Amino acid sequence: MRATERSAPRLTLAALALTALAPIGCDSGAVPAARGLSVVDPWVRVTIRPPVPDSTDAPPVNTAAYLTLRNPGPEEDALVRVESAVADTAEIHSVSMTDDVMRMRPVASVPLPSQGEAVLEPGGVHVMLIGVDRALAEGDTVELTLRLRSGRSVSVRAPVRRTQPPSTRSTSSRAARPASRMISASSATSTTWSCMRTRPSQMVVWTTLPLAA
Amino acid sequence: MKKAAALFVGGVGLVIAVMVAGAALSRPATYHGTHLSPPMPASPFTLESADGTVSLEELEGKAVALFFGFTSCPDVCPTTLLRLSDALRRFEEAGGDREDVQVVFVSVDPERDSPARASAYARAVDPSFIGLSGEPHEIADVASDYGIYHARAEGSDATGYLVDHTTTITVLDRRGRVALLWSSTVTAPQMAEDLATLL
Repeated sequence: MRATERSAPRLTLAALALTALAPIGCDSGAVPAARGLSVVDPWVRVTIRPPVPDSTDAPPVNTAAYLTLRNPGPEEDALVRVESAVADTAEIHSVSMTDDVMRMRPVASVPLPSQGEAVLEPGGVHVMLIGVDRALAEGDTVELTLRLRSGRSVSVRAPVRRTQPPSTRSTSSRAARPASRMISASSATSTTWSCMRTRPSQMVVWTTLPLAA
Repeated sequence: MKKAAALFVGGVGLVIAVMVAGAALSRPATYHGTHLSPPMPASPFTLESADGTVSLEELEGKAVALFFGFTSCPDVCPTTLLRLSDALRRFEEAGGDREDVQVVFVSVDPERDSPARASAYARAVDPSFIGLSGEPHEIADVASDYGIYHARAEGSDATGYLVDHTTTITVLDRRGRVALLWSSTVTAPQMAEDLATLL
């Protein structure tokens, strides 16, 4: 979708942008630093098996989080750390598939190009949530905090799903890519990105689009 | 005259119908996965589930989808098993009988995945799934027989070791022969269609 498409009602564009962007907060002390970052379609996979209470010998329950992190700004950045209260640890992992052999490895960071995005999706780069302390089922939500090399951070509330939403399936296997798939709001001169409080307990990064046709 | 014309038209119609039916019957079945023609004999095995031993030969009469993975895997293994569950649902919605298909998950991480753990994991995805584990040498033999590569890889303190492994799903026909291979790119709807064709 392009914000420059004249035929699309701008109110609809604004509504879609609000629907697509799911972050719940910028660090309250760093609102200017987080300006412009957005997280699209975050989700966490259900835990396949529940944790065993008070079990010290059972291996940790793991699952994964996925999202697209968008950076409309002129400075490149990198996702370096993810935190979540539901897991002991969160690591960023990449998956390579050669001759149908899966190899998963921890990675230190995910590049976030200027005016581009980092795509975390099944079978590719993802956040591995290690030592999940509760059963996660469809309908639950998980709060994730994404920390970037620049010091910026953004928090997001991700719904728990069994499978990847079809709308988020990309045709590219690259984790980081330029902004060709982005809502072109960043290129529209009439558009600004801001971090704005909408409810007492939540903050939403949203795209301001002109509502007048 | 009219009777002769009607007979002629009817005869032509019959010939066309026979030709179409013949073409359909002679056309080889097409699959989204890799079809082995003729099917290959499958290596028999016996491994442990939470409820005791399970032998492959017990499952003859059903199509068996065999997937190797490990329960600490956060990404590809649950994705694959959930895709198989989705495929069975679609197969059933299209008129297939779920009882004709058995999904079997075999752990390639027997040191951490006990039979009880492998079974619980598989059943949590779908109650009909069988989860198996065994002694490391038994798992190594079964994996080798089915061309499944698996090796430990270094992880972090939090993850412990990771396991590289082949993600290909091996599908056996009702007679216990290897008939299909599904790579990681085969989707649930495609699996459902392949099952309908195979069965």
